[in-house]
Amino acid sequence: MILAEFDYVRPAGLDEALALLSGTRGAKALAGGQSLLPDLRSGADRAGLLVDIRRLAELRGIGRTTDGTRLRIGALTTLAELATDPLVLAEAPELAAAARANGDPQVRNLGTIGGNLLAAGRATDLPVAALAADAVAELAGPDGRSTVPAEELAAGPAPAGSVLTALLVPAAGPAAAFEKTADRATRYPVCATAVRITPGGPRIAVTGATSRALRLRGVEDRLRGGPYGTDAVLAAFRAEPRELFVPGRGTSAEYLGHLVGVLTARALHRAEQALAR
Amino acid sequence: MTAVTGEAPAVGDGVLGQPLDSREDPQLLRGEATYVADIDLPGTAHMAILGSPVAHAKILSIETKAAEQLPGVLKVATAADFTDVMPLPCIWIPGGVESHFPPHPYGLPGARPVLTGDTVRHVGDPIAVVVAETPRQAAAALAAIAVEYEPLPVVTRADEALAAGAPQLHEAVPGNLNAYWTCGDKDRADAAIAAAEVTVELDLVNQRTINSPIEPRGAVGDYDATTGEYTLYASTQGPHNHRFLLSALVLGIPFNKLRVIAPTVGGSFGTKGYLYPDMALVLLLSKALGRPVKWVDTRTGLMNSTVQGRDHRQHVTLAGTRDGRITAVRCTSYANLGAYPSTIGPGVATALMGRSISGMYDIDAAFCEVYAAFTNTVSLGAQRGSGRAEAAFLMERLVDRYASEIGMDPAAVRRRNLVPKEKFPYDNGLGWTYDSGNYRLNFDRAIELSGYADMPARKAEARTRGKRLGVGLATYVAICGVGPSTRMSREGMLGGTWESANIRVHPTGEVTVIVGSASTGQSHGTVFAQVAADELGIDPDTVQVLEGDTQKAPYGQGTYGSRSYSMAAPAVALTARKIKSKLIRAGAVFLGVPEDKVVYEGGRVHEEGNEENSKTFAELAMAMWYGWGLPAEIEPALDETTHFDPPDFNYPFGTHVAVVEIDELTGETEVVSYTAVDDAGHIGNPKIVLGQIEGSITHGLGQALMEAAVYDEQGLLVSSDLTRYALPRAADVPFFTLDKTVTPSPHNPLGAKGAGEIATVPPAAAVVNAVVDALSDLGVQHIDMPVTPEKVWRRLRGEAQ
Repeated sequence: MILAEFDYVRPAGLDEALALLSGTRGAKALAGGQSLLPDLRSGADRAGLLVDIRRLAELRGIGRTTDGTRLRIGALTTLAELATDPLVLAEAPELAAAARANGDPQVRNLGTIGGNLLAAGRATDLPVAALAADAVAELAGPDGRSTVPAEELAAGPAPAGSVLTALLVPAAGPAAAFEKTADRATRYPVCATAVRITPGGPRIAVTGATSRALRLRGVEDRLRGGPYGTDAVLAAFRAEPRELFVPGRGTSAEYLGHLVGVLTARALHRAEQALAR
Repeated sequence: MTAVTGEAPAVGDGVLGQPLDSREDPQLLRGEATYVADIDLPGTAHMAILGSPVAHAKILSIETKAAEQLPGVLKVATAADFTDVMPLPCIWIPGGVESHFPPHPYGLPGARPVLTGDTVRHVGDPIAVVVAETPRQAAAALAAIAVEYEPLPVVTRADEALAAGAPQLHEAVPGNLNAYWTCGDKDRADAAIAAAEVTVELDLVNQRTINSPIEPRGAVGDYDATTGEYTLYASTQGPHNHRFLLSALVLGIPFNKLRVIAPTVGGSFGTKGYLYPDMALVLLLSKALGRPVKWVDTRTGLMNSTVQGRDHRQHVTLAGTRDGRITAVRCTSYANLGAYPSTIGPGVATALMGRSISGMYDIDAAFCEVYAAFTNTVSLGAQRGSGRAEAAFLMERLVDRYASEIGMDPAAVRRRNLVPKEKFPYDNGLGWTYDSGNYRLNFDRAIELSGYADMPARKAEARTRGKRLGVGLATYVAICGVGPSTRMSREGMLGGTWESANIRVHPTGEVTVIVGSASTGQSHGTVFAQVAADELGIDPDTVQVLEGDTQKAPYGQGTYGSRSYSMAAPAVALTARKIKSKLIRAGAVFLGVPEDKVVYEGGRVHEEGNEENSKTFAELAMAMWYGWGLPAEIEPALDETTHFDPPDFNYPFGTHVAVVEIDELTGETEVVSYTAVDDAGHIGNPKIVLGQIEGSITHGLGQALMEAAVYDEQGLLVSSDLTRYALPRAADVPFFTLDKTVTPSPHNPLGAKGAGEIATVPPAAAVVNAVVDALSDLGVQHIDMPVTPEKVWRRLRGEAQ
C-alpha cells in the first residue's frame, strides 16, 4: 500500500506538542511508529499531522518515585530498554517479560511503552502486565496532568489531545510472571497472561483470548489462598462465563479458555518459584 | 556440513566444489542491488491495476469517466482497449491426454486475457488499469472506476468444481475439467491391492500455500517510437521465455522488437517464470502513451494475483505384505488449477506430482490419476518442490500408516523397500527413469546422524517434562534438470527446455561468461565463475558472469525446477572445454610443437616434457586477439557458445528425520531437531547449497505447521497479507543437522543434480509423521496440515479429526 500523505512537525517541548495535538485537526502523536505507520500505510488509520514526540526528554527515563514504592517508566522507553532494565527486571519482572515477548528485535528497538499501552485495537503485550501490576498511567493534556489506572486505560481510548508521559508501577520484587502464546503470523498474543502474587492474593490479567486486556477478579477470588496447581487454575477458569473468550483466527473460544488457564497456571508457578528463591 | 559419505570421487583441487563466498549476497543484504522497483526511467508514468473484489460474476458495465477526470490520470484502460491483443497462452499442458483450455487465436491452449471484459473468475482478476503521473494518483483513481457485477455462484475446491451442478468457469471447459491424466498401470495396481495381505488408505489434503518472495513482482515497459522496439524490465526467472511468449503469442510483434531485462530479482520460489497480464499491459500502455510505464505490486496484490502452490485433495492406497514388503501404491488426486491455467500449472499439477509418487521405493505396481479442475481461486503454479512435495507427502504418510498397521518400525519398512543400488537406471513404472542413486547409504546415514536408535529413551524423558516426543521420517526423489527437450515435449511442454552458455575471453585474459538462465538469488555469478575458472585453470575473480538480458545472453530458458546448476553450469563447462580445446590447437602453433605434445594445465599451455616452452592464459588470450600467425583453420579470438540439451532428467534424493515435541496441555508442536541428508550429485559451491537446503527445509516446515491459503465461501482470500498468512521465522526452526551423500548424475558433464528446492520436498511429511508418532497411542492415524495447536489439543482430548 502507498503511505497516505500527512504533515509532520517535531515540537521542541511537551507543551508545544500538546498544543499541536489539541489544536490541529487530525493530529496524531508519533513515537516509535510501530502501530501508527503500518496503519497509515494500510489505510486503517489516517492523520493530517504527525507530531513527532520522540525527542521529548521529559518522556524518557526509568527510576523509582521519591517514596521508593513505585517505578516511574517514561513513555518513550523502548520495549528493548524495558526488557533489559535491571530495576524493571527486579521489581516488575512481568513488564520486562511482556516487553521481551513483543514482536521482533527491530520492533522492540523502535516501539515504545506508550505506543504499546495505547495501541488501540491491537492485543499488545504490555497492558496485561500493567493490569497485573496495578500500574497507573500518567497523562498530560491540554487541561494539565492527570493519572489513570491501567485498567481504565485498557478499557477505553485515552482522552483526546493527551499524551501518555509515564507508567507508574508498584515495585513488587520477583513475585510476578508473564506467559504468552504468540500468533504465528503477527506475534501478537493468541493469549497472554500476567500474574502478580501479593499478600492479598494473586492478581491475574489476560489478553488475546478476551476482547481486550482484562483483570479476572473472579479467577483471583477462586484462587485466593492457593495453592495454584494446574488443575485448580483450570477449574477457576472453567467457572468463568464462556462468552468471556472470543474466538478468532481459526481458534475456538473453547480452546482459548483452556489455553489461558494453562498459561496462567504456568505464570503462577513461575512467580511462586521466583518468590521462593 | 560434515564429511561427504558418498561413493563418488572427491572433486578436484580446482575452485569448483569450494565454499566460496557469494559475490551477490553483500549487495542484496545491504539493499544496494537494483530491483524493478528501483528502475526510474525519465518520464515514467505509473500503472495501477483494478482487481475484481468478487470471485465470480458477470461484468455488466464498467464506467471509467470519473477516474479519467482525476488529477494526474493519463489513461484508464479496460478490455475494450485491447481487443487486438491475444490472450496469454499456457505452455505446459497435461501430456498425452485430452485437455480443455480457454481459446487462443493460434489454436494454442489459452490461459487468460490481459484484462477480463465479460466475466471475473477470481478475486483479483484484473478488470481495468489506470496510468497516472504518480503511483498514488494511479491507486486513488482505481476507486473512481465503477463496475457493475451480476454475481455468479462460486466454487473454490477442485472436487466440488467437478460435481454435477457446480458453477461453470469457462465455456470451452465442460464441467471445469482441464484434464483427466494418469500414469502407471491401473490394472496392475488394482489387482495388487485386491490381492494384498495388507492395505492402508488415507484421505489427504495438501493445502494451498502462497509463494512469498521478499520482492513482489513488478514490470516497467518502455516503447521506443523511433525504432519501434519495446523493452520490458520485469522480475522474471526466464527473460528469454517471456520475450518469446509476449512478442509472438501475446502482442503479435516481431521477436526482435522486444528486449526483456531481468534486473536483480528478490526471490521467486516458482512464481516469476509465468506470464502475467501486467507484463503485456506496461508494454501496450507505454506505446499508447509514449512514456515508460511502471507497475510494482503490493503484498496483498501478490497474494491475489501471483501463482499459488500445492492444493491437491487425494485418496491414496498402499498395499503390502505382513512382513513389510510394499507391493502397490495408488493415488486419486483432485488438483485445483485456480481460475485460469497458469503458464505451466497444468503440467506441474499432473506429471510432476503423479510420476513422483513412488519416491525412493521399489514398488511393483503403481498408478496415479489426477483430475485437474478450474475453480474461483488464484491460478495454481509451481512452488519450490512443486509436485514432488505433494507426492512425497502422500507416499511417506502411507508408509508410516502401513508400518503402524503391520506393527513394524517405520525405518525398517523404508529400508526394506528402497530401490537397490544395482537397479539403476531404475524405471519407476510411472514414467521416470531414475539416473543414479545409492539410497541405502543415504538412508542409513540419516538414521545414524539423527540418533534414531535413542528415540525411545528420549520419548520417555520428554514425558517427564509434560511433552510428547515424536519422530518422523521422510525420503524423497525429486526430479530436476528440466530438461531434455524431446522428452519434455511428451510431457506436454510446448517449447524447448535446453540451456546455453557463451564464453568470451578478452584480449587481456579476463573472461566473461553469459548464460541464458537468470538468477533470482541463487548466486549464479559466483558458481558459474567457479565452473569456468575450474575448467580453464584461472582465478574465478577474473571471470565475470552476465545473465538476465535477452540482448546480451544466448537463448536459454531461465531458472526453475533447480535446473541452473545441472543445465546452465554444464553448458558453461562444455563451452570452457571448447575454449580449452581451441587453445591447445592454437598452442601448438605458438609453442611450435605438434598438437599432441601440447599440455593444458593450471591455466597455461606448455610442451609435454618441457615446461619452459609455455604460454600463460593471458598471453594466449592476447595472441588470439591479435590473431597473428594463425593458420586458416583456426579462427582468431576466443568466443564459444554451447546449447546443452541433456539425454534425460536427473534425480536428486534424500532422507529427512524430524523430531517434534508436543505440549500435552496446549497442543503446541515444536520441531526440536531436524536431520537432513540430501544427495544432489556433485555440488559446485557447498556454501550456497547449504543456504538453499536450510531455506528449503524451513519452507517445508512452514507448510507443515502454519502456512495455508484460506478462501472463504465467497472465494475471498482471507489470508491475504502477512498478518494473516504465517511464514516461518528463524525462531520457529531448530538448528538443522545436515549431511550429504554424493551420487553423480550420468546425464551432464558435472555429475550435477538439482539442489535449490529439493529439501523442500520431504519436511511436511517428516513433521506430520512425527506428530502422528507422538499421538499414536491415542489411535491417531493422520492429522491435516497445518498442524495447529488447537487441532493437536483436540486429538489429545480424544476427538476425531
